[in-house]
Amino acid sequence: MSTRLVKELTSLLGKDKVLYRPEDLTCYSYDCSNYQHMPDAVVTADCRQDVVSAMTVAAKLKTPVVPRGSATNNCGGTIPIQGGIVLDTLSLNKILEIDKENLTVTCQPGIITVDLQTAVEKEGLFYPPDPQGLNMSSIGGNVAMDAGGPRAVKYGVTRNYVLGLEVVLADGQVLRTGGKNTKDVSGYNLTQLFVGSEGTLGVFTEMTLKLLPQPEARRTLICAFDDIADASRTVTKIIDHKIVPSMLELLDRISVDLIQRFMDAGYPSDVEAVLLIEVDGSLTDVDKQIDVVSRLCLECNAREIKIAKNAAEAEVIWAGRKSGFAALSAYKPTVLPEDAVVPRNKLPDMMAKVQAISKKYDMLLPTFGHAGDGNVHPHICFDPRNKEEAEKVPKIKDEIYQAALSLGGSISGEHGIGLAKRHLIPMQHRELNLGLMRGIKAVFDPDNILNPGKAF
Amino acid sequence: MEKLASIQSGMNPELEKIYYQTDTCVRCGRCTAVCPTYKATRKETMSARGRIFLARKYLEGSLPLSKTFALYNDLCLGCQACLEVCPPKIETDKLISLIKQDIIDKQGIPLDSKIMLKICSHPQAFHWIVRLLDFNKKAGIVHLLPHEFQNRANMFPAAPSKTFLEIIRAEPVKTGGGKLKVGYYPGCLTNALYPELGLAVIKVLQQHGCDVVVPNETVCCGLPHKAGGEHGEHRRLARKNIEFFFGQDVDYIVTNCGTCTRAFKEYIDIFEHDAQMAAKAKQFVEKSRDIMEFLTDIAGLTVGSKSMGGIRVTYHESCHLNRGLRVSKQPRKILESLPGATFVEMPRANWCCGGAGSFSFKHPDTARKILRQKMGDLQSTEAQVITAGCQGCMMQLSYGTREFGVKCIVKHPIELLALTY
Repeated sequence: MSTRLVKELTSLLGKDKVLYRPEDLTCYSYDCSNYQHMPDAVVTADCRQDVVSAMTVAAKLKTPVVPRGSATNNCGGTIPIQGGIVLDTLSLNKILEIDKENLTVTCQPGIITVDLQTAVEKEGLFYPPDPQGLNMSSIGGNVAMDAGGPRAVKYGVTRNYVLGLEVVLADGQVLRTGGKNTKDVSGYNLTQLFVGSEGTLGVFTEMTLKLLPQPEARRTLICAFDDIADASRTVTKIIDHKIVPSMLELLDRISVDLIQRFMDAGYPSDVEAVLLIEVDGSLTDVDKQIDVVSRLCLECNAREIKIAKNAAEAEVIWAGRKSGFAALSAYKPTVLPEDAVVPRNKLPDMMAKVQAISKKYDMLLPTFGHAGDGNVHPHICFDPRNKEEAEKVPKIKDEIYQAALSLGGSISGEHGIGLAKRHLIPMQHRELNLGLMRGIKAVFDPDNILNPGKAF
Repeated sequence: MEKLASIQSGMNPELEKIYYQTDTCVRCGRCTAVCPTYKATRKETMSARGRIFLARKYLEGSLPLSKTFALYNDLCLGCQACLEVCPPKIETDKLISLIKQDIIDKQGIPLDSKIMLKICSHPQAFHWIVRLLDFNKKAGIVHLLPHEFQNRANMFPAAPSKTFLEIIRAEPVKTGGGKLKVGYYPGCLTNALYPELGLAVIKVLQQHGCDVVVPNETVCCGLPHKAGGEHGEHRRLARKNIEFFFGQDVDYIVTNCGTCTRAFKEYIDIFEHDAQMAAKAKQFVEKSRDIMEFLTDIAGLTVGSKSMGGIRVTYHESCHLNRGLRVSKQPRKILESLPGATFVEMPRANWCCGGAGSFSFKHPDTARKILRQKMGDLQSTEAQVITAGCQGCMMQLSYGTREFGVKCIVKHPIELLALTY
């Protein structure tokens, strides 16, 4: 089977774009999750036709295809769990057009998120979605997983910026959906159906994304609390006062300590929680916002407030947050960043439940996350060679999501389902919902060859 | 979730230790943002996390020792860029070196490597090879050679009419001022290809009141031999270099090449069974400095007043100098102090140029892709001069300017400094 697969792929794509040696396949058997499986072949596509060719062969041989960008997802989204083809689109990495009149950018899926952001910033424009792996992740991956980030509290997630797509379907046909229109209510919105579909409906070859003008100014504030409940309460209070910060992040005690151990981000020591807040807007507007935010923090028993004096100071504060995952990986060999989301006003309850789970299993669960939108990341840090620790992991994980669901939340805010949370799907979605999802999948991919075994 | 495998028994203890260090790789991909070979190829096998993963599979016994596996290890530049961003600080370069040694232990040193190391052991021969190449290029005979060889021949700059040592022998070095006695180690490439750099170093040292001692023959620093698995020859060369400068009773030993100084520092632990030599090696290592570090941190930088005439200068960081020796601010300090010159930072100044010892000769295609990006970054600065503190980098950069038609000359910062007096 795999010899025939390689032969057919090579005859259409040429030798250079098809990898099949065990050394190559091994390196496409992983992503940033704890799962692994070898593919039978890897295709490194650098044009739409390559993707079409790969899909044509796959459809003919009914071979699974896993589209792949930088493989920085942490849910097993790009693991070729049933073998088949890993379809690498990283070399499709051109920016095709930055349209300053329509405020859009059209690009290929393989461009790295930070490179896209830098390119539009040069034109005074702004692509807000900021997954914390943006230095490595690809835009195609961001769209497939509907990546979020700290700015989601004000600017939304990747989904809110996808206007149009070019997608190669399971049978090799090329579909174009959406475009540069800011409004469009003709027919079902197929574009949005693909966002967050985790590669189960088609392979992206081009995307048109919405841009915004760069905000004139930004201010950053860091605030320390002696009680985590006070910090959580501050979050709801700020929103209640009609202020939507551009970032609003909560770090618990252990996260603050581990980040400070990893790098000096200037975080205060011996505190129960820290809030990192950024506001943006016009010059006068940010000053007003920062005044109100400071007052509200103090009203909620903040022990200490520091406003960054300049951009460089702000950068250090946010670099600490960005290094959160890294800081934890330096602490324990394996770190599973869990990703629960609850309605914003339930954040204090969720934080309390995480703390209770941590106590129950006697494992530290450093928690930080995008408190402003109710999205928290308790991190399960453990040594896989320590049997006692490793055995607790699946239990802790399931209890975190049971807690989120009991508060009306969801099992994933922004990391996706992949393989890691498939078993939890029935806890959140009823059979009616799942039946409809299966129906949609069958319409797009009747032979179930696109990233099978993922998403739901 | 995957169960963790374990390393096969009977592996060398150093490999075993680093294997367990790689347990901490969560495949976050931070290395992919800074790895030059990954950026150039976009292949997972060419990233640090890919290399770590492959090494683990090999050490666990699920991947055999194949030609491809050996090649992928060889395609690591060893630039250590990944180490800087890796959260658990996995020493990928060390892992790769140990795996390479393991392959040599099992398969012996390959023939092309043996020939190259022989040449490195005899720098005089190296000098004649360069002259012969130069003659062939001028006579147009190079074009008769196979295409692969032509490309490699083009990587060498034109040979100077006299080597550094030939010049020095004809006109011995005058005493400086007696402030400090400095041993100057020119290195093979300065001797054979960049004699004017050697003269500039002596001039600058004398301007700083130093007496300069130069060895009367070039002896390789031994780094190629260490990397290539010829440990006996490495020790022989080290011993020769140590004994020479020891006999001269110098205060410091300076080089103008980050790679040579880095190699000197590695003499520290190679004479375990010879206490007397080990003690000498320790002193030698303590006295070794890169010339730019020596000038700014020890001698106290003195700059002349002659203007550079309004040139734009940029700086490329040699990996050995920057990550190996932490000499990064000093060259910039020198360049910023040059009268009549504007120093501009180039983007990704600390990215490897693709030279990386013998990398560019062994893997010209990958090296060329890396070099192309470097040249693009250079052009964006509009600098007329690019400087670097390593002759391997200087060779690669000047090859890049010729190959990609970039109007920029390549110098060592010290050559510019020498012009100011």
